[in-house]
Amino acid sequence: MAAENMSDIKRRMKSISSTKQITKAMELVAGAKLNRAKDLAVKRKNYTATTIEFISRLSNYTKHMDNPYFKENDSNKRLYIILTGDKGLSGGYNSNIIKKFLETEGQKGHNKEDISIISIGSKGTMYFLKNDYEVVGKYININEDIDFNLVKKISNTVLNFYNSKAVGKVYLIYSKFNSVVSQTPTCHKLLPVSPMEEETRKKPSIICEPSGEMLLDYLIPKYITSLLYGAMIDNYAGEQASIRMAMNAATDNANGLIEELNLKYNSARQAGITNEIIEIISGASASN
Amino acid sequence: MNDNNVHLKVVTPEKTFFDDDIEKVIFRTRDGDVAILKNHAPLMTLAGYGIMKIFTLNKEVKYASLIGGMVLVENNNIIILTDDASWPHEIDINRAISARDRAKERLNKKQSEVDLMRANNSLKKALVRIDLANTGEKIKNRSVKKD
Repeated sequence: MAAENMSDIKRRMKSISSTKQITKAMELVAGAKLNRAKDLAVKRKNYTATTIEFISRLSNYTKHMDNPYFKENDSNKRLYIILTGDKGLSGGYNSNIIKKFLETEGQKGHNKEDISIISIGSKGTMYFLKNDYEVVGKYININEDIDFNLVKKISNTVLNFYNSKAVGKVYLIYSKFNSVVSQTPTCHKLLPVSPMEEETRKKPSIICEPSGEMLLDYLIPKYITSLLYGAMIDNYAGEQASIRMAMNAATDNANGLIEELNLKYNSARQAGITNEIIEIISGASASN
Repeated sequence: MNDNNVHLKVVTPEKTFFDDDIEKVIFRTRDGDVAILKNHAPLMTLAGYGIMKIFTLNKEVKYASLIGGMVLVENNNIIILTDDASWPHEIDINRAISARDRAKERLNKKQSEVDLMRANNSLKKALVRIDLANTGEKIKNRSVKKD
């Protein structure tokens, strides 16, 4: 019985340690991908920040209330751009983003007829299609190598929806990357652009050439694209960080299990030896 | 810091292309070339496709391509937000020439207005790049002669 127990434990230890190898490898891969995404985010930061600064300046200098990008239109429809991951094994990462969406929508009545969704990432897409939401755009497996032209295309689609008054508001839901250990699911209102309140103190008037409206027409698409691209990088970095964390926990867990099994194995071995000795001794004393 | 200085910052999606005090800068807007010196009135404008000349504090002139973008001038700070800017040595002349030829070819075909506009834009971009690469060559030759 002891021998069987021992080989049993041995087998389990073997299977756990091979799983550990896989999780360890996945952890390393996610770590490398995370670093790349972080580099990209840093490079990109300046451009996004400058775009936002330009928008806030313009919104102060032009009579922005007349501009369609600053004014709500009559449509009740809300367009959500929701970013999720393409792969699982990332803990609660994707479900947290979907939860954020449900929470945001919950405050607005959650009437499915008023919602359109552009879903980026397979996990979210699967969820929204299964739950009968109107998915007007789905993009899968584009997060790893984000193609800037594709992001431009997506933001053009969004602007078309908005300009044709098919939707009245546009939200972006993604996971904000604070640090390797902390990501917050965030809902950001893209359109209409909220004027930046804190900048309202008086400033000297600025010359706008050719006109404020034309500047806005140029800037708004850049603004949307820039935010969307930034969010996609954030999201990807967050996904990789979550995968790394989940895999790290799995590796730790495997280590703990192996240690435990090792102890069991040793005590089983000990018991086996003790048994054998007893058998030998009793056999010897019987023959005497 | 010299009193005649203006600060110029050029930001592209990939990086901060230029960030330094300068004497003046000349670039193309949609309505023609402008030069910006110290104490320029606050201005926001759209950049066109053209070569940007940066006059540095040590009396050098640097050339760079500027492919569209938006410019904010305020308190002796110039910020240019652009899709693309490059120095002469960064330009792949062969690629620019083939881009020019492709754009010309597309312009000759009958196409929708949007396609024509796109082809026109790529042609303009390619021409600016070729122009800049040639300028770069000229400057290089000049300095070689001097030595």
